[in-house]
Amino acid sequence: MTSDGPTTPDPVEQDDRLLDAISRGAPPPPDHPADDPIAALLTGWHADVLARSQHLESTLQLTPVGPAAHDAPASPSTVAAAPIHGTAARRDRSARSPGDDLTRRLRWRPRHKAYTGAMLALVTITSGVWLGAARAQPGELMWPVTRLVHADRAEALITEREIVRTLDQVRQDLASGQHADARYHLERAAALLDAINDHETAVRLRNDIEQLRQQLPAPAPEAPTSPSAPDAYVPTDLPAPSLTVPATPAATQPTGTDPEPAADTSIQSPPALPSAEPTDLPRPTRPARPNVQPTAPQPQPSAARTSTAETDVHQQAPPARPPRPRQG
Amino acid sequence: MEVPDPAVVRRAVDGDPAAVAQVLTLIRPIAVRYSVARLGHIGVGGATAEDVAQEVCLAVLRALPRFTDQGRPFLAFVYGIAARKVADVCRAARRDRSDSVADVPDAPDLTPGPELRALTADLFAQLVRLLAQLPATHREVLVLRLAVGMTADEVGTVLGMTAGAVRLAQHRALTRLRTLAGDTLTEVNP
Repeated sequence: MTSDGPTTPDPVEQDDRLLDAISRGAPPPPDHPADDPIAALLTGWHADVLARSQHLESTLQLTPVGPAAHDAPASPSTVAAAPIHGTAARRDRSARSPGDDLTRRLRWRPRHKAYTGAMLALVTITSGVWLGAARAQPGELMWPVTRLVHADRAEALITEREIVRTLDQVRQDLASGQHADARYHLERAAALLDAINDHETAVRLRNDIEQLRQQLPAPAPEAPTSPSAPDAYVPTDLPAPSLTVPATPAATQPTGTDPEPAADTSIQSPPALPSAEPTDLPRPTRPARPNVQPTAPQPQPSAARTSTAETDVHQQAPPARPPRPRQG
Repeated sequence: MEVPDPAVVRRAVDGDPAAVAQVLTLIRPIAVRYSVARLGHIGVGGATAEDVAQEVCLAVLRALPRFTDQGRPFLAFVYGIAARKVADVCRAARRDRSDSVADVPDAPDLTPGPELRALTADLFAQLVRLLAQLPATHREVLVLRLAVGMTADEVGTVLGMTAGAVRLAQHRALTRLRTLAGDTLTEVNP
């Protein structure tokens, strides 16, 4: 082809030869125009690529997975290390070393959190139930728990309520003039007071009881004066107490402590009533106390009071004063 | 340029370890040179010519059992893989502008010093700029012909062209480069 004529060389052939020469690493062919700006550029580029490639190949000793040993025995040890030295190894290292304990902490946190939350919830619920039970009043939601957990407190609370209710009853009785009932309820409250351990409450209730006691028409010394005054309005209420009363006279009369049966029988004008008596609720408990009296009759000062309760019963029923001479 | 023997390639495809090693030894320089020639300027994104060459070799290894000799030469097969890998990296580098900072290596740096690197980088930058202005086929022909070191016939088999077409293409590429280089040179030295 060069024989075609050195005068007019085929530019395509010329370039092909130039590229052949450059890729071989040889200088451009002698017949190539010296002023070609590309020749030097391409030569330099080719050399550069070759240099870089050789540098890369020296560091990058690639071998196939298994059988490379007998083909490239020169550097078997660098084989595995070198390829990994790239981005993969860097990523691996940076992922593990700096944030190792961080990831562990992150891994542990959820379980830890759940555990802590469960414990907190348990403590909160327990203390809430405990506190609620400690302050529960009878009839409230927590009351059963209170009876279970704070048995003594529950007992005291019930007793206190009972006393308060009894005292209310006493006040009602006082207001309605049923002094005998009031006295009886008052005694019952005083007896219940012993079961209260809380000093403050006990003192308060005792004061209440004392107060109510003073409101009671003390029958002993000033009986002639005081009972007469309130009795002015009593008669309207009379039928009820008089109906209920007979139970006690019936119980007391046979014991025969009173020497005047005439007056009593005159009071118990309705004789058929005792049969109707039992239906009345509060009374059945009552005889227990009057029954006690005969066993310890007059000598005790406290018995004086209980006896007055009995005598009051007689006082209320009739405006007459048969008991008075007995006491005096 | 040394080309893998078709018989060796056939044995490698069948799974002969020795043949596989031989094939890999032969295609490794091709992969490295092609990657360097195409990606020498891309150092960002963590994807360097080194990584790409390695990926090309691995991909060839993985794809080797699937290679069937259907008249298409093995070099074309390798070139297809390499071209695709490089294109992937170029796309990713264009998309990803972040620059990852690795740990400071505690080993001596054997790469050329800053002066030489500046010079070569200048040369590289210049030529890559010029190559980028060429049509894709012309650029590939020049890269395979010069950087990989293929003959016109080999380039023809790889790219599926006749040798004459390759010669014509490279002539056109060089002509275009000359005009471009003349322009840039006059720009630089008026």
